[in-house]
Amino acid sequence: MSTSRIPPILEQYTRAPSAGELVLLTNVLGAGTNWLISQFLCGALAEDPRRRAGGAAALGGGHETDAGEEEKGETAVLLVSWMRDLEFWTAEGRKAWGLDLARLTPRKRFTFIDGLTELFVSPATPSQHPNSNPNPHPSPLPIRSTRTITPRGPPPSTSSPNPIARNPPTPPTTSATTKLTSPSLQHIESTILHAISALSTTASPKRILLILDHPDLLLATGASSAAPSSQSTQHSISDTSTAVEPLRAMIHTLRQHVHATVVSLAADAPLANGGGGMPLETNHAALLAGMAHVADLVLSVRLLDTGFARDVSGVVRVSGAAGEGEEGGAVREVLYYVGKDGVVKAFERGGAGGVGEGS
Amino acid sequence: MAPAQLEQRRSHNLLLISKLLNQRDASSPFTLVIDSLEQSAKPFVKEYVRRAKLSKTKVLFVSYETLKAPEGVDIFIQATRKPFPTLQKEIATAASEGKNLLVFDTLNWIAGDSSLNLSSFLSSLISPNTPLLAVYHQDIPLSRPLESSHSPHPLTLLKYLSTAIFSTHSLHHVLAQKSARGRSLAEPVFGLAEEVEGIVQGMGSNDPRGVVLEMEYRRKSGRGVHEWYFLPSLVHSNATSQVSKGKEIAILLDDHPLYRQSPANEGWNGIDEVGMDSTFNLGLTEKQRRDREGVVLPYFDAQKGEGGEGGRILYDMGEEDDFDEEEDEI
Repeated sequence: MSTSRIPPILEQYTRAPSAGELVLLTNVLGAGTNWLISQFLCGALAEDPRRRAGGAAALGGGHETDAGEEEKGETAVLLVSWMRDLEFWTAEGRKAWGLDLARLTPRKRFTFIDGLTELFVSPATPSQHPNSNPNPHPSPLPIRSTRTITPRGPPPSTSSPNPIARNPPTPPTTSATTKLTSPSLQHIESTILHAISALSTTASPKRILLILDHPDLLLATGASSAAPSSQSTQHSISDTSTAVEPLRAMIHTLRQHVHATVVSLAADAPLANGGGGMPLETNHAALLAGMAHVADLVLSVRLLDTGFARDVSGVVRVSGAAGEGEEGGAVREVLYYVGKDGVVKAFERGGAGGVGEGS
Repeated sequence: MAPAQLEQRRSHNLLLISKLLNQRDASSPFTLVIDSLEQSAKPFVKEYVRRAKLSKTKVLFVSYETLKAPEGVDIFIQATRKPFPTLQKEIATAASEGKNLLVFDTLNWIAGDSSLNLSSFLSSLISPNTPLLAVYHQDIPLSRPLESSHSPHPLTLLKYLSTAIFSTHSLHHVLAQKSARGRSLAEPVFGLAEEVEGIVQGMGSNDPRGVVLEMEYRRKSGRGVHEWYFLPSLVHSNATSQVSKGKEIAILLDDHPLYRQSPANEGWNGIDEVGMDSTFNLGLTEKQRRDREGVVLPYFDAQKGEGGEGGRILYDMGEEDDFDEEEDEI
């Protein structure tokens, strides 16, 4: 497993976000952020073995300011994807990094929450699925050997109003993946919080990197507007008010429970400018701009302005938020190329030799 | 701009911003900061908090989107998902008897809430010893329900309510726009306004050198004062020495060395003059300029009395003028 897979230019951004950091990745049709997400994913997961092998002082010292914190626990990644399933991410991790996500799962280094497959499937259907857990809120402790499906108690209905109150099953469950089975934000939030507490127990505290891949899908599917205001402790937001706020509030709340957060959103022109006046456009633009305002680092991926090229996949614009640090405000652009083997090369504009045989 | 006018603006408006930033004499009970992705209000708010700390003011920070309490904040209130009455109570109990400064990191998310009467909520928080500083992100569009489509946009309402409005701009963008104006070109736009697919923040956004502030201050009489300032960042400038001396670090934008109207900055940052390969000096010294302005144009003279003395050019010879018998004969 080689850690030199991260392009050196991008390494400073994708490696180990500092505590409380929010990284926003934006993509457009034709220039996706999947390769960037796997940089974060694998960067966090591949880090520790090398650290252990190479000696923390020699290799790890220079990367992070909070080196002391790193001693405390390893990094675990919680990936919530509303766009792709586990097979995709496993393949991506293997292709680009030679990383076996399935092996990391039982070691509590990696948890995947599938927000796509069963988001709108009725609660009865999942139980027929051989590989999936009938429980909508399982703890993601997977022990591969116990493959038998042993439903503990009656399968709960997904429309339970307050799932966090229910005692989750603590014994190991059968599946490596948790699936979101309802577009209700409460369900999503409690499932993710659950996965967080399962990953980082008091016995073995971990620094959790939470990756939310395209939570904006929930805006498009109308999930947020359907978010019930039933929870009496919360301030109720009527359906007519901005549907973006509950989703944003959820992300904000989740951020308080993890070490760092990576969020990817679509930034295609109609969705980013919000000028059309359609609710989806407005909401999406509000979410995007809102997240960009909060983000400590924004990586915007787009296609080349000059058209297609065989040796360049696209442009990453790196912009940081307002001058907290010394180089906080510097905006720069980097070209990148994703090869067929999944290996990513990143290079400066005008800097030749990034791809080798570039014509 | 006449020098005297600039001098007056310098003295008056610098005093004004110093008063606003230091929250002296309850100068502005409700200060609204309008920022964008191109220039975040964070450095500006930070400066406010820093000065509040110097004057031993208690800083209450109400957070809707900030995770960790910024430096210098005394009480950090997480407001996300909190019902407004609870929030109101929490702020009231947190506020001390002495001077306070109440900061909202964003009003966007409550401005969209139709269940809230924004103006009464905000005015309930403001008291003579608790001024309010609130940020509004102008590039977050608001989806408004149909029934409120006849009421004013929350931003309009906030602008009406506030006693001082600061809009933040990136220095890099302001300079680029000025340079384009100077050459009669279309002013460039940045970030989302570029409408290039996939661009969220423009090049040169959040300039590390400092923040350009556009201020609109309403006096008690209702008269507005409009001014542009530059607030240098403490990390990137040598303003630290001035801070320690207690001097005002904000300057008029017109006084910024890169923005100032000076021969060196005119045109293409002075490249035009240098590049013009001429043996003549086409510039004017200050004295020459004053003399030229002092010349009475012939038709002003003709308009006097009974037609004056016709289109004669009246010019008082200076001692450096070379009198030529043949040419200068009048």
